[in-house]
Amino acid sequence: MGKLLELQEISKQFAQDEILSGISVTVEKGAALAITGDSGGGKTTLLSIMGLLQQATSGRILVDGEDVSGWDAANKAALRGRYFGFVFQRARLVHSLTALENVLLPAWFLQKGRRLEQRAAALMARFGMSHRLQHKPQELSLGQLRRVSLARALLLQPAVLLADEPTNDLDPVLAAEIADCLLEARETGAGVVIVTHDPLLAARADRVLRLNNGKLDPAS
Amino acid sequence: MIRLIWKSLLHRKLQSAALIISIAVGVAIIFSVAAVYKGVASGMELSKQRMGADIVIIPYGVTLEPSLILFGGASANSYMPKNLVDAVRGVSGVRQATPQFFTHALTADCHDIGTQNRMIGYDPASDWIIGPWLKKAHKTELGPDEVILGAKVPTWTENQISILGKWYNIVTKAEETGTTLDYSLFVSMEEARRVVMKDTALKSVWTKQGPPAELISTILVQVDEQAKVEEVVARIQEVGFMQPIVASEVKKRIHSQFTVFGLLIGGLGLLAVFTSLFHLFARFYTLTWERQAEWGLFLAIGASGRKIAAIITGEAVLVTLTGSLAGLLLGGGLYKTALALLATYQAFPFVPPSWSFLVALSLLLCIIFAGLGALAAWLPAYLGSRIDPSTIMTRGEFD
Repeated sequence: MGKLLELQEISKQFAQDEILSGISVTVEKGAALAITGDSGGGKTTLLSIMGLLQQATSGRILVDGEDVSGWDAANKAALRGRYFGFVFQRARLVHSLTALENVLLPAWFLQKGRRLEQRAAALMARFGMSHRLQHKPQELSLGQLRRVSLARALLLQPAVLLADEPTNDLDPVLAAEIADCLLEARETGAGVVIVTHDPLLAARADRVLRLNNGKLDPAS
Repeated sequence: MIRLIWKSLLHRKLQSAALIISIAVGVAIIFSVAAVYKGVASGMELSKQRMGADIVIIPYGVTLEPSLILFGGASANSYMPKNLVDAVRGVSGVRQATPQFFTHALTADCHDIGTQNRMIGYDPASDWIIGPWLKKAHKTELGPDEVILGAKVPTWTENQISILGKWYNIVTKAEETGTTLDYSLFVSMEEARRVVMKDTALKSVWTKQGPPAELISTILVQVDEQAKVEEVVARIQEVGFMQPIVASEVKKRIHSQFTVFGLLIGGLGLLAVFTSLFHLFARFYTLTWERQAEWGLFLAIGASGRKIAAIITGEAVLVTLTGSLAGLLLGGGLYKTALALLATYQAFPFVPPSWSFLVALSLLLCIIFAGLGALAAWLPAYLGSRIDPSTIMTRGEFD
């Protein structure tokens, strides 16, 4: 399997606290990695660093074999747009846009909005959201918001899909549905990283790691 | 991106509308005041050039406001003996003097023009006001069936006009003066006297003041360059029962009255502009805090800092441009209302600003306000483009 993303000796310090300490981990093509751990343990920070949203205090990040740790903000933003897909803890939809427009948002920034309209609608259809294309986020249920968020993350067919607590606050049936959609991305060769408290979701990943005291260990 | 900007503004309808209205009010006041001020300033300048008289003498006892006589062309059925002209010419310091004979206001019931106009009879022998217009038409004086029309006298045919049932040949149209001379018809003095003789309503006037052939309405005086106008006025008053009006003083007084008026309205306009600008700057400054999570999302999903800055600036420019356009429409309405008021009272000489001036003013206002909008967006754009994209992971829900 190819390495899509590799973190080498990543550390993150906030003031005197070292949240992450010398973490090394790889994300591989077509595989799902689940990261579990206690609340406040740094899981979201680790996911932010993986997605180039946050700078590590030390260590290297290799994307498709290239060290991008020293890249400037503009280049990192461009790389994020084409290489990563994000599913945030909350749906994070823009309330001024319809569900379909929210899905298309990453494409708008790449001037590909019109070309990808069909794909956006197809993704929404796949998640059972065809009847909600023109609805605003405030008109959607929690589960529907998550599905729109997932469709947005998948629109540009990212190499790496990063999901932060994607089933948080959802009932078991809905959580399972979201997990299905998320893990389906593996079929297109994407690497999936899921930060979660949900043992059922973690169990469905190919690999589970636990973040404990700033270090990643295989989950028992 | 335009779609994103548009949707964002539509989503915040009330805030956007409040901003647009406050900008529109500021732009409307500036536009209308500037246009009216320009019209009056041009009118003052033009009337100064075209009237060509330092002193206007009217019959003693006429109680009209001097500005109405000078610029409004108010016609009073008061006349004075024509021999006063020679007396005035004899006054030391008077370079030249020419009489004019006014008919009362001609209205739709007595001629075929349809608006209120005044007929002015001039003296070809001494005139220097009408002469240049005649020269333009290659003539030396007007015949009994010839007329020069003020710039704004409406005509239905190109060459002729009917007044009190008589057809006159139109010799030329005078240039605009910004006064009610623009609404006057100039004929020879004999013709003007013939016309009033036919008017039965004025019979009592002729009984009281004598036959029209011996009367005049006004004397226009030019003084020698070295002479002091006030001293000439004092000497004219000694000659007989006349009321000299110093044109420059009246103009100066009107100018200062209008300047005060302009400053007052302009000041209110500036206040409205400052309020709208404060509103604009405050609104966009608060965006810096309100919309961090949204901008963080944009950065997280691939937008560059420059794009975020462009979105913020685009919103500001679109709001200010919409406000400016609405303001121009509103300002156009205010300007029309002001014109109607000026036309009613006719106390200020007024030459409507050219279309090119109005278009240039509109463009300038749009550019200035769009620039101010961009300036108001500068800080949020600067901060927004440098936002930490991980904000999206930590911030609360956003609108």
